[in-house]
Amino acid sequence: MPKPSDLLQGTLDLLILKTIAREPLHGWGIAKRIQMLSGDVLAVGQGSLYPALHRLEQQGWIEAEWKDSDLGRPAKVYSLTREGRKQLQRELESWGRLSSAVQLLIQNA
Amino acid sequence: MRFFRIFAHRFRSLFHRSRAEAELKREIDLHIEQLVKAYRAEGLTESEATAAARRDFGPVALTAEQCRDMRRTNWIDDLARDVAYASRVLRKSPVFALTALVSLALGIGANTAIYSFIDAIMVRGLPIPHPENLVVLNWRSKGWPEVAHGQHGDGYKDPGGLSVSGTFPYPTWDLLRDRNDAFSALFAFADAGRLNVVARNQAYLSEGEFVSGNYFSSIGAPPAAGRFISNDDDQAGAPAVAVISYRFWQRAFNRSPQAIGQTILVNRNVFTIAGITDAEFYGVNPRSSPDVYVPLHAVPWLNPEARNRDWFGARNFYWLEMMGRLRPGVTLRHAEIPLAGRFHQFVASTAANDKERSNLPALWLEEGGSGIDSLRRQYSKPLFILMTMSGLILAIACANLANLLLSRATARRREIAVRLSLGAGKWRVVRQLLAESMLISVVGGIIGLFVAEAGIRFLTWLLANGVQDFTLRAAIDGRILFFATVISVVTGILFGLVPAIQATNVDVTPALKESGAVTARVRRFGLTQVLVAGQIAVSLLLVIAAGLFVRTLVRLHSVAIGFNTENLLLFSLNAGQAGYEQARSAQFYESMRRRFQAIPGVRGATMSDMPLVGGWNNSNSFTVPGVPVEQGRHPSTKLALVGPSFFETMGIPILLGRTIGRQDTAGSLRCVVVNEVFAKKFFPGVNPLGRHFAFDGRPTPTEVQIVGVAKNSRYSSLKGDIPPVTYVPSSQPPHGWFIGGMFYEVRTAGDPLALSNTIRRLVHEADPRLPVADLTTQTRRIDSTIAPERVFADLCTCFGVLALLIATVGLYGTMAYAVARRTNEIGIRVALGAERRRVVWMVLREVLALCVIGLIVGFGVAIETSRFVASFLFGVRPADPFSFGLSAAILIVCALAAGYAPAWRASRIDPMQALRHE
Repeated sequence: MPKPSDLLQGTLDLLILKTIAREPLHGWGIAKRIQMLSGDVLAVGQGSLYPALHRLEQQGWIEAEWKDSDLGRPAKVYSLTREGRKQLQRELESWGRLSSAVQLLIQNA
Repeated sequence: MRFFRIFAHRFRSLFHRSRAEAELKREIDLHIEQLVKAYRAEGLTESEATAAARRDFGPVALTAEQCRDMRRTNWIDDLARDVAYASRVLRKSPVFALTALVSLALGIGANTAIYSFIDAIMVRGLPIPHPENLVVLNWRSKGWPEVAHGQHGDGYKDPGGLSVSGTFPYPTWDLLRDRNDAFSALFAFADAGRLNVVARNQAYLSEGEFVSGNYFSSIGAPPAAGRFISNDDDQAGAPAVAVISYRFWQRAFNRSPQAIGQTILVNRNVFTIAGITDAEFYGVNPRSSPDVYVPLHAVPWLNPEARNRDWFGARNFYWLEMMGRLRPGVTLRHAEIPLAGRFHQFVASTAANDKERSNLPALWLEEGGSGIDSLRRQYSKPLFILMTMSGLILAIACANLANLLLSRATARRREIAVRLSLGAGKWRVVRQLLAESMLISVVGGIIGLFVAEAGIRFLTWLLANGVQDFTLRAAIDGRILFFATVISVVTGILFGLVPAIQATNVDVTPALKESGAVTARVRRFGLTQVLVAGQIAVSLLLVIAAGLFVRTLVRLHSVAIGFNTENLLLFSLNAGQAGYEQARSAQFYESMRRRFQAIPGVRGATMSDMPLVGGWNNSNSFTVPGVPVEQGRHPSTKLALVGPSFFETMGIPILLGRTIGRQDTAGSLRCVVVNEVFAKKFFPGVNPLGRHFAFDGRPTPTEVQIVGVAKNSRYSSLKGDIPPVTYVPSSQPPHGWFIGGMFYEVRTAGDPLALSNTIRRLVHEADPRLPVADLTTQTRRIDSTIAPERVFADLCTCFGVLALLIATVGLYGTMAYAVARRTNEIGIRVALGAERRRVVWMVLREVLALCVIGLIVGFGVAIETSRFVASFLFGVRPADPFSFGLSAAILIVCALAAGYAPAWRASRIDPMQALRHE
């Protein structure tokens, strides 16, 4: 496997929220999806995914349920809550601001 | 929604921990399994795939721990672990822990007990609906207002020297009630005093209250049974009804519902019971708790004084008390202005001359949520002094706690350094140390509540001082619990935080290099020493206070009373209330006196209309023929109406002339005996025997002749100068003088109280309607007049001893610890030839240094503050050198005692062992 680039601090939450906004997913699926959608550029440090999931669950933005899964046995499937959607909105906005600011800086520097 | 989800989630994390753990493991395992599968698909062997998967995933245990951290319930786990650890550590040094615990429990208990009284007296409202909008009507004036020709009720001087009273003439009630926009209700009442109540053929002496027809409806508390007095009942000519208290209902009727509608006799008048008050209700004065409420218009039936005077029409006779309920949104001052104006107009119209007009009483309103505030006035200052003292006790106790923690922290420097160097957060270590102090303070607080419960009982007993039906209600309730919790927690944090922070300010490397106790630097004057010196200073304050109050009590007890107080039984009978007319009651009193005298074991029996040195005061002005009256001020004398053989029984020597005896009857020449002060003041340099003077009074003055001069004796109280006193035969009361009841003084050969039952039986045989009241001994009666001083002396002695105990233990602990830490150093000194004596002295010198510093500070504060208690002292100056000196001596002795054991142990240190000591 190619070595993935380090995730920018704080963007992991955004990626997770965005990923499960489409459909509920288990941890393995979230990791795969992020890797796949980013064209294998971004790979979540496999271990660091879970503390992030637990933190988001603790904050009430996502909820988890044990369900039968495509993996052949029950997996803990995460889905977005209503508050989670709002949080995603906020994170997208702040990401937008940050990236355009960085863009601006790079162009003008 | 989010809140509930979070809550449920955290709840699960906390209480279904094993399940959450299992799920976490399953989740991670599943992930690794998938990774393994993926690598297997790429063609790796089973073992290679597993290794690669593990490498990709990273350390499993760390990830799991991070997940647990994310769940944030860890602080509760941590807390439980901290508390468990703390209790283990504390159990390892039980003596010190127990000391801190006990001293804290005592400190918190004492504070909670005193606070519960402050709460009961100062804070708590009447147990009725909406006490907050009640107001009390008062007036004030400079000195006594001449316009008030008579008063029935209480008044007092405020701190500014103004006369204040809540009594008004009846017509003002009608006047103020009329067109009153500020009040939704204005109701009136008056103290009926002690009444003779016969219920179910049993006689009781019960406190009574006259109440207006709207009293109960304005107060708004519901009756426990029956109905309350209404406006229709409070009319001249209405059938006589009464409301009885729940307590009286219980006592006299055993809570029978049939009590409603039954009749009772109140001072021989028939009343029908209309209703019963709620169990909580005690009227509007927290000091008293009436058992019988009767309409205002029953005054003439129950109060013989009211037969000679029209209490309802009199415009210069002040007796009616009033309270009102403010309408919503009306402020006190807003309501006061129109009322004060109307009252001013009224009193101006009642003033007969310029002198009366010059000093008219002015109406003012006072908040009445806690009822009439006489209790607050009486107890506020003593309670605040006691609260300060118990606060100081708590401070000493806290200093012990802080010292315990400081020494513990120093001993654990290495352990803390290890923790810090292993990467423990500083805050985490502080939290753990705090857990210890919180554990002690919270457990101390819980024990303190039991101490408080006992303290409240002790204080109630002390304050009630034998008074039956003492109505001060202090109890542990929600607010008190809150108070105790707050002081425990604040104590724990405040006194735990500083040592904890100090402990974690460790320079890790040198601390780790330390080998045990050898090189630990003992600071000469660190926080510990400051705390110990502070404890000594505070203890000195409390011991000095105890000394001052005990000496006050001793001085009071050594006051020359002027008569023999030993073996003297006192009690009272009130024949008037049982229906006797004046003349018949005089006969009855005398016949009873003779019966008492005939009891075997009785050496003498006499009577008087007031008990001597019992806080009673009767006075009358008089005129000496031929002596001009200065500026309209007639001289005044204290008065005691006394029966035959009064002087012989009491043991008051007669200096000149004769005593009052059985020959002085209603028909014989009016004669009096005066005391020395009277004779010297009004007949200086002449023989007073045979001289005449006349008591001023209505309808005519009463002329009397002096037939004897008695040696001075205490009249009303132990304090102050002895006033001029005139003893008048009880058979010859001055015109217009009314004998309410009679006190008997019976001199016995043995224990006076042993005669109680005989006395009761004799009175019951003579007239079963007459209960014996106020049965006590003369000594106890006198003691009750100095109750506040006694309470102060007792409590302050307790506080002083407590302070000494806590401070001594603290000092002992500190020194014992210091010696233990210096074992090595002392061992070297001894090995090098230091004498044992010198070693002892070395330790004691430190103790003395701390003690002297504490004493100097303590003296400074004591000199500054002792004047605040000056008004509670008698015969002792606030800066009493004896109390100060003795207190200092006691403290030095205690300090040396506390320091000697560690010093002795230091001198016994075996150099060989000490050097090996690690």
